[in-house]
Amino acid sequence: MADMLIDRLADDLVPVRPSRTFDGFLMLMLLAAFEAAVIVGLKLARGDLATAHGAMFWWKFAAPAALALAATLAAVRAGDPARRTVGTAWLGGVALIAVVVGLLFAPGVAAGTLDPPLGLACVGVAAALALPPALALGLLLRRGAPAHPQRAALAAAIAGGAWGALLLALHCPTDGAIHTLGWHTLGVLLPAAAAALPLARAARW
Amino acid sequence: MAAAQRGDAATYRRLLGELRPWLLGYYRKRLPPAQVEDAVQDAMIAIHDKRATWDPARPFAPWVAGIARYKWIDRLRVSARAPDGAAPVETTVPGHESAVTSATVLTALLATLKAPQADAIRLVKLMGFSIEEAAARTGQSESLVKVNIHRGLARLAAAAAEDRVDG
Repeated sequence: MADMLIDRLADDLVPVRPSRTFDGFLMLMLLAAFEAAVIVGLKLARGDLATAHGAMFWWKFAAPAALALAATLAAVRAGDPARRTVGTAWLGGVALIAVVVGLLFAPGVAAGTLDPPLGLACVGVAAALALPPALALGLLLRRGAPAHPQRAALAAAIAGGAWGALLLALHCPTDGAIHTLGWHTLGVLLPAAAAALPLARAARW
Repeated sequence: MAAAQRGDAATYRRLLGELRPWLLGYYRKRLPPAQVEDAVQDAMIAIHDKRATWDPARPFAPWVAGIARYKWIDRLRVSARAPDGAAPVETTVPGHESAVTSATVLTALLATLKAPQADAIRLVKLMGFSIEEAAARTGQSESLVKVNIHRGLARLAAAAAEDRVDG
């Protein structure tokens, strides 16, 4: 019985390309760069990208960028079954620091308004932009063998949401503190929450 | 494994043959004897399916151990989802070293649980008693036996996943 299984597996053997963390990370970076190029190419980027230098302008790039890079690295590395930790606590720390820095910036900038229609539009754009990175990470998790599928999926979901919010910053023209801290944070959280369950299914093996 | 990733079937066959005794030892320490062979085959199929996830720049042994461990935890999770399954685990291998080792490790694992949970799992999952018989022996209601098995196995799976038990 055992020999039969070994023979069958050996007979089924076809060459495979070993997966490396760097390859997956690079793929996500290229995908995000492609999305950014599409935004710019379709003239959907905000008109004052070169001249806007307010604190909230920088925060809405830097905060999701830090989270996207950290979460992508965590999700891609998690595909190796030898890794017993995903680093979700570390990701929580990055997210917390990002929010605290934003809150520290907030008193020094124009508060702006909540403006729900614009905010919801931003969340919708972030979700749409989060979809390709989330799908790509789902494929990577599907091919991988994460020791902790749910945590790997959580990292991938956060990465997708953060990439979406980062790319949204290219498009969103509003730098008010309330809008940026509120809606752009939701732009990470809501797509991440929506992606977490399907990604967890993709990560199981 | 690097040769296997390149498609060298003969080397791969030899590798699997050499891995099998290690996997047998791994699962004999962690599972009842009746589940060992299935677990080994599951692990070998997973090694085959996921062979691309091994990076030749990294050591091979932790990768194999990671797969074996995941499949072990997966078995605990499946058991937790079907606490009163119709297939009790038989442990009637007399005087065998691996069975003794397995029993020792299982006893240590069960010691991390609350007594009613450990009793329910020991009676139904390891000794093959029915839910009704376990209820009569422990003084728990039948539904409580089921709940204790479910919660106990879930705790074991969680503890294993969190590295609170040897993996």
